[in-house]
Amino acid sequence: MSAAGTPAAGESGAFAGIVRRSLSAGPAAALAGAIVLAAVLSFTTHSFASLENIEVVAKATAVTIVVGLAQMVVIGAGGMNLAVGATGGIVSVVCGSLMNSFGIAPVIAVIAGLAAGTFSGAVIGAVIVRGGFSPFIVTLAGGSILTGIALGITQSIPYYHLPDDFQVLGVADLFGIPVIFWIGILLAIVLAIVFRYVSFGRQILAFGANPRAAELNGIPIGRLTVSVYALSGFLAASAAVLLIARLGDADPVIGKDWLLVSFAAPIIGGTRLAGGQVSVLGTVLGALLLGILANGLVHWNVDVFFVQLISGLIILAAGGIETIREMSSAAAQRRQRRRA
Amino acid sequence: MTAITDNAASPGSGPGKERGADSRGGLRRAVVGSEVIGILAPVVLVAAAMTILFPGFASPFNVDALLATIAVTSLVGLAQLAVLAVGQFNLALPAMGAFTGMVLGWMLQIGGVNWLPAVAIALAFSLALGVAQGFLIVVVRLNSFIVTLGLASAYYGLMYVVLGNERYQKIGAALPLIGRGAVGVFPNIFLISMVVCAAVWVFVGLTVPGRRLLATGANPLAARFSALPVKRTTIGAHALSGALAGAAAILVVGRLAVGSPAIGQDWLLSSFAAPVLGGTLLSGGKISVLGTVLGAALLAMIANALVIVGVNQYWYQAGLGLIILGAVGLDQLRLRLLTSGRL
Repeated sequence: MSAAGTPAAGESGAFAGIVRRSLSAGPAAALAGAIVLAAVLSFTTHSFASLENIEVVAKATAVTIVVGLAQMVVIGAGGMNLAVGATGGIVSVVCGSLMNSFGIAPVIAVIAGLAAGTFSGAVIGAVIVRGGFSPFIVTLAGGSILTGIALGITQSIPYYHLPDDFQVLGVADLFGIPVIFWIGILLAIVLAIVFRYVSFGRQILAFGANPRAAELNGIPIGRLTVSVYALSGFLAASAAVLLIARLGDADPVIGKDWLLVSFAAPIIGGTRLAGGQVSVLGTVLGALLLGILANGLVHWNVDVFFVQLISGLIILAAGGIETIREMSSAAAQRRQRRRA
Repeated sequence: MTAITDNAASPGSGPGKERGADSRGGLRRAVVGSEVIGILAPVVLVAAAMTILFPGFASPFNVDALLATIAVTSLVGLAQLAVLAVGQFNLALPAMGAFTGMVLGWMLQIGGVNWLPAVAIALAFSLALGVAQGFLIVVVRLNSFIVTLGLASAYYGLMYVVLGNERYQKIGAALPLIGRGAVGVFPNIFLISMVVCAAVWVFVGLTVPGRRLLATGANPLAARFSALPVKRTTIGAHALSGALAGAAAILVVGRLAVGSPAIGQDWLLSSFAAPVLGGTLLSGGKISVLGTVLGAALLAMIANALVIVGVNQYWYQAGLGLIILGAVGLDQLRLRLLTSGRL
């Protein structure tokens, strides 16, 4: 399910090749990590391998998958979105207020929430394109604006106890697996198809790999950028809907912890930070690894403060993997050039 | 005031070239100089409007609070400016401030350290936090964005793990000089902050390491080919960033007589807003120390005015985002006018 905008560098020397292959195979590494961690947890704790707990992990992972995908699509295009959490917050407020304050049907409220998230993303993308600004500063400022609005409207008070016929989304199972997990997987499959077979997805990767070349090849980069940030906003909104369905309350700062995992999941899974190469499967497995780890830390009774430290170290480690990957692929390219 | 333009190495020009200013250089300097005027004007305007409309604004109590906020925000802005100069960001600034403030609080309340060595140790500590960050970026060669994102979380985590979720409130008058004193209308922390700002201004504008900072940011490749110590300079920028964040935290601890994890929690946005308002380029290579201080003054006055008018702080957060976007927008416009040669 991984897709690259640039052809992978050719075969390489023995040891370096093994290192490079195992690390650039982000999905496999993430899967191996997840399996090892799950096995260790099953043996060291009584409660991890229980059916209820696996359901808890699946539900938490579903949200992390979608949050990771929201970041992955913009990374693929060579950008970043610091406003994923803030977008989730504003969507939470839109859904919560429509259902609780205005008594609007959950289906309509969810559609409105998804539209609000998509629109926020499109506006952010448009500001980046029209202003020629760096995605960093626009999404930093945009996130602040969205969070300010979400907090200003609600005075920082969540919408408690959303309607039961909405909460059913967070409780229901399908074939013994939580519905919200299915939704996360469904979104991932659609994205994987888009990045592999649809011209929109291919254009995102081409643009991320080399913006200038993409423009010279006639790709409408302005419209593409707006679409990518709109897609990111839509995914952030989907994550927010899944999370408020699971929690039963709509908090205006629902996404305040999303930033780290949004980068960690894709990078662990083999998405290239500089753009041009993404792995949907890797992001899903990276999110699974993070979900199991977060759950495992609870079962090991690790202090919540340690969790914050460990989260920081994980993203640094992911950055380290990325550096090794980049260096070995650069070395491989040099070798190939010499041979040519 | 025109001397501040010496801090501007025009983007794209290699080191050394900036000395040979031709006739266009004079014009350019005038435009760059107007960036300081561009930020000074709204500062004066807001101050005048508030003084006329709200008598409470110019009261000694409010002026004291305002100057204290300007003192802290200026240093926070300069802490971000130090890394912006080399074309990088520091998302771990709030965590560095909180950690330093907590360490200082611990030393004063639990450790029984005298205030002067405690302040010195706190400064050295924050410097070390910055050096570690620069080390990971330059030597370990991790992506700079990922490093500061990760350290933002790791430093908070480490702080909580080592010191717990404490509030060191029994500091008392341990920081008498920094804490409550004032010279005339100027609170001590404002004067200390301005001395530090002046030192940074001299460092960036007049010393060789300071000039290297700008040369590295303007064009890292050209700097490397000119045999400038790019790696050492980048680590130095992060060290300076950490030390300035630490200095800001020390002022906060002195002012509030409390060391708590909440120090720095609202720094991140203003750390970008203050330099950007003052005409600093996010891409590196052009910074304005005086502009940053004036930017901090404008931010502090807007926040203060909103409190007086009775606007909710949440809307200030939304406004801050708009201010940043507006400031980078103006910058971009200015740059476009400059490069299109229509000036």
